[in-house]
Amino acid sequence: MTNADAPSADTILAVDFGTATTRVLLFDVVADVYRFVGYGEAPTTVDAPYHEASEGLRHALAELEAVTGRVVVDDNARLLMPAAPDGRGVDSFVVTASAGPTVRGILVGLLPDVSLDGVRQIAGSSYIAIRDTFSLGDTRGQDQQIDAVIAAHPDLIVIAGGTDGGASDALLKLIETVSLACHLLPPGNRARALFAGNADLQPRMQELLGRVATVTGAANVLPDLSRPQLGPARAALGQVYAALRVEQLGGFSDLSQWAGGRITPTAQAEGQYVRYLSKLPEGQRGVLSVNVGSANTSVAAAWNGQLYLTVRPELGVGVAAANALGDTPVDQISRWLPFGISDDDLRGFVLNKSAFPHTVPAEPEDLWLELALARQVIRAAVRRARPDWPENAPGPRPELLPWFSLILGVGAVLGRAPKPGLAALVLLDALQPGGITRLVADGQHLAAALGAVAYVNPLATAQVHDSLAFTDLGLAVSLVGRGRAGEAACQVKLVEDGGAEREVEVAYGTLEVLPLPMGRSAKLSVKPRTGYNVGQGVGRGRTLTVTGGAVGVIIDARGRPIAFPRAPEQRQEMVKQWIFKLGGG
Amino acid sequence: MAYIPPTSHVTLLATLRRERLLPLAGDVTVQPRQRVEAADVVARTFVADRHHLVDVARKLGLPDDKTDSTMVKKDGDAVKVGEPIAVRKTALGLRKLTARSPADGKLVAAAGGKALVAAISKAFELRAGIPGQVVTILQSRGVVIETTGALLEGVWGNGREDSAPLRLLGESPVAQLTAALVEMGMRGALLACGQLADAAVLKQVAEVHPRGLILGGLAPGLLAQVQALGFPVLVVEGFGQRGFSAPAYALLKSNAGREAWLNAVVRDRFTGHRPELIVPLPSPSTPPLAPVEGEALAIGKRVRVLRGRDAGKVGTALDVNETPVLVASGLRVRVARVMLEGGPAGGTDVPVANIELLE
Repeated sequence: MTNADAPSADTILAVDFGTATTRVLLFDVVADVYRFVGYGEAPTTVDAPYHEASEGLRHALAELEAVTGRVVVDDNARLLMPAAPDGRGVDSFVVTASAGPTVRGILVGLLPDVSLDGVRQIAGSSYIAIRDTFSLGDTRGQDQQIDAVIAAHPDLIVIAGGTDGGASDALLKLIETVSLACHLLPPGNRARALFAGNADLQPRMQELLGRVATVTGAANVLPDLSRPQLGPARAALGQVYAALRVEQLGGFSDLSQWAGGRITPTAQAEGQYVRYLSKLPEGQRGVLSVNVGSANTSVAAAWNGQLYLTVRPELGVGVAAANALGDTPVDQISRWLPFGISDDDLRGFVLNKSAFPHTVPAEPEDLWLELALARQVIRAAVRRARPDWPENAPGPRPELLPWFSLILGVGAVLGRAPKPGLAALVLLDALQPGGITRLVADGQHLAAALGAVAYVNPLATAQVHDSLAFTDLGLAVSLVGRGRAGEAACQVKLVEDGGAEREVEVAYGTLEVLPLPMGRSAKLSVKPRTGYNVGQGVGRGRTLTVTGGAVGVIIDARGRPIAFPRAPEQRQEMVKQWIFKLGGG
Repeated sequence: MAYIPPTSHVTLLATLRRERLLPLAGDVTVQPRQRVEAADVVARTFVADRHHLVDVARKLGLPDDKTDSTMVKKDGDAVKVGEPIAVRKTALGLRKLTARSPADGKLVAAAGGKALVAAISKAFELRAGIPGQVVTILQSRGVVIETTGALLEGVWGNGREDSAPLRLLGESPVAQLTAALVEMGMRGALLACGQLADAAVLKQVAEVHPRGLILGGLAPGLLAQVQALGFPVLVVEGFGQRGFSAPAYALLKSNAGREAWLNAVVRDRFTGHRPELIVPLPSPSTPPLAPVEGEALAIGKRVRVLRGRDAGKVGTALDVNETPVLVASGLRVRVARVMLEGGPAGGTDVPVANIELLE
């Protein structure tokens, strides 16, 4: 390490306030490099009866102290900052958050396919439930629009429209309508508005909306027609969202002060980390991260530093599980189960999970149900994210997932799966990637923490990433193509450093695992049969050096998309086989 | 480390305070310390059915910025359908151009050549819901009422509320609501029954016009129909084949025939609003305690299992593990040993995450 790379003696505490869980992660310098030192968690307490985030934080810190033996708070449970020479306390503090009540948003743009699409994309990257949209394409009368705004009761209004210096009258008319409607909303809930349109209109926007909303300006999402730029508006929206949370959530004002005024939406922080990964050699073909939470699910995809972030608010595996039923037919969930269940019983499971979101599966059948639900929630979230991804993202076919070098599964349902093979199977089933992909699980929300840390200490992010703090599930080789069940799809040879050698022929419709202990290197040769593609072109093989993960090397020859037998017994037997192969049975 | 599970209340007698709030600012019609009955109006406001935007400038043939002096109604004035809200005499006073209100209601705002009229068909009257004493006036918003009574909290409500005498159907906590149990005499009552799984029976129930329905468990397939009903529905235990827990059934049985308030509000974890049934009861000389919340799981606590094969069962905590243990699903979790009603003598291990306190 050069002197320039040497870290200052910084102990960093990262806190994430999730809907269900408050997590604390401690990073410190060990042998001259930053390391992930420990983790603690406790139920989040921003909701009733506490309405105070610090209560859950106190419990999470107590767990962290018990696990690490480090003291980070004083006798009055106040954070010790900066760290004392005896090692007590922390030097830096970063906060990410997705907790809190639903943020109701309305979007206003001029043209549905242009500025409205722009605000939809930036609002779609945060925890905002879009209740209505207004544009020139709106066929409702002005009075109907007023009633629509009142019905939406927005916490947040995101506005764009017009190129810089361009026409403005139509947009101003829409804003007048919104302003009039906001004037009629119950007092005490002043909305926040973000304007990311024609820069010339910023003062006028303040004039029209300033009496009914707190207005923030951002760079135009469309400064000229050939040059959309969403990044600055997305960052500004993150700040507006954080300010709203500081107003709404007990304890967030103090937390914001400790964190230097910065509370980052969890998805945005995670996106920041995914963007970083996509610039590394291991993320060369693109990086995908899915965070399955209790109330929200986020998807971050990045290619060469270009991030595409999408949040599905009100869809998750806990509080918002019931919403999955409105999104997905129940047979799409039950197809992932190794046993039969009636539609009504499955609906009952999902509704009860929503009613009691903090509960855990105690019996295997209950676990399969929870993982089946997670698969469909991920699929629904990715379905929403796909239209925003670049059309030229390299991939096997437009209807399939683009190639990704690295897939990160975030959230307790993945990171805390009782066996790593189950987490890997959920990711493979839900995303159905093609080609050669490393699968990683993040049950402790390291990705969000490292993304937030990157804003204050990029070196720490880089060094903790290198220290392999995540659960490396292993490498997946997924064949794209169609064949006959049982027919050979590819030949795979794995030669470990030290000589141990294994060669298998993998049949279409099956999954195979070649064990390779965590961290051990090997040479992997994949030779697909004609008609199959492992990311090198149809029928073209590849030899590469690989390292082992918690599961090993997975060969997924089930085809894309995965086809299911019609007969329930056959389908259940097949799913049972998959679970068995991946060591989850 | 202490584990603090969620709490559900199945309380036979407690001092209860409930906020009653208007949807919009309005007038509170009661005084502090005033006694109120369930049906008494405690606050009133006007909620618009819809809004009409009147283009005053166009109707009067004026530029947008020249209409202020033509307004004959000002912001907040009541208006009747057809009543003039702005009038302009043409040159020489030969003709009168008039902009009229399109609806009965209120002129909300007039500016920039336009007037916004809120169409209001009737006043929104907020009733007390429970008999008791007004302990706090929330300026222009509502009141807090204190009462004593039994409290039964549920997990799901369809967003409606009403008061009526309570009537318990079926002979056991798990009784199915069947066609044979439904009869016309149920009209105007709050009906309680262990389970409902039959769509035809639900239709039959709706036809007798009860004031509300309280169920231990509801078949998930009926959720959409129940949401659309015009009376409140409270699900106490959860979805699927679940009946009332023994304490919930005992509460309902002991209060059958009494006037009760069913507030099937949609559950909101942030505000803490939960769907509930309150049975007002006379206060003893020493007022009972308020329900407790946020207590730690400890030996001797009454608990209810929320998930797994023992879901819905009630028992007593015998022990709480500090260290996570391996359970059948393969997860490592903290468990509590619980003596469940009808369970094995030594107790049953239940993940603490799957337990709630029953107070």
